[in-house]
Amino acid sequence: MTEKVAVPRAAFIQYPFGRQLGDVGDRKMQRKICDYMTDLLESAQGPNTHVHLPYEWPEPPHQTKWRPDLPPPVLLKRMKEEEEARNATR
Amino acid sequence: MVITKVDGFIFYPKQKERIEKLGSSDPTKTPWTPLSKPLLECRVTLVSTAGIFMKGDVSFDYDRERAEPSWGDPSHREIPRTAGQDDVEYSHLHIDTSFLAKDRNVAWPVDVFKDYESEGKIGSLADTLYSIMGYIPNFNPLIKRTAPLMIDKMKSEEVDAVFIIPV
Repeated sequence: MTEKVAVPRAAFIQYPFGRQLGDVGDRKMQRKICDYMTDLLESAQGPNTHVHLPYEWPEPPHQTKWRPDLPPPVLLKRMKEEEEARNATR
Repeated sequence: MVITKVDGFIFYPKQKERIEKLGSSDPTKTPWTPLSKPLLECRVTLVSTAGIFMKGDVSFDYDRERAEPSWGDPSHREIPRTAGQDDVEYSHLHIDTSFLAKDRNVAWPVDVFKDYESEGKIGSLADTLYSIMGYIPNFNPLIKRTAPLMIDKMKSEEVDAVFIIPV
C-alpha cells in the first residue's frame, strides 16, 4: 500500500501489524529498526527512496497474532454478506 | 532468513488481490524536501496510526465505525511527550493493540527516541506527538482538515522531520 501512495521515504519491514518495530520488551530490535528509519532520513537523496529491512519475524505468519479478538466492523459486514449470499443459493 | 524484499501481504494474504487492484499515485509527483541539517540538530516528532489518545481525552469514534463499517475516524489526537506508557489508550478495531499496551515501543517508539535525544543522535523530540487511527477509507477529511491542523502545530513547535509509524 505504501508503495502505491508514493511517499518520500519509506522503510519496509516484514513484521506483523501492531509490532512493526519488534516484540514486547525487545528494545534492542526496536532500536535497530528505528536506526534504519533515522539513517534513511539522513541518507535519502530523493523521493521514493525505499529500504527493505532484512529481518524475518520469528513465528510462522499463520501463527502470528495480530488480529483483534473481535473482527473489525467492515470484516463482520463482509462475513455477514457472504453468509447471506451462501444461504440465498441453497 | 534475510529478507531482501518485504512481502507486505505475508500476514494478511487475503488483502493482496484487493490492494493490487487499487490505483497508484504518480511517483514523479512525490513530494520531496531534503533534510536541511544534520539529524543531531533536528527536532522530530512521531505520528502513529494506532489510535492512541490520552486517557480522559475523547476516543476515536468507534461507535460510528461500527454503525457505518465503511467509515473511519479521520481526526487526530495530540499526545504530550511526557505521557507515560499507561497514560494513554491504544485503540484500533483492526489490529490487536494488547502488545502496544504492554510496551508502546513495539509500534510507538517514544522511549527509543527519548534515548536518541539523550544520546545526541537527534536534536530533540518535540513536545507534542500525534496519533491518527489508521482505518480511514475516505481520506479527504484527513488531507483537508486533520493534516493541516497537525502541520500547523508541528510548525509552531519548529519540528524539522516527522516519523510516521503505521500499524
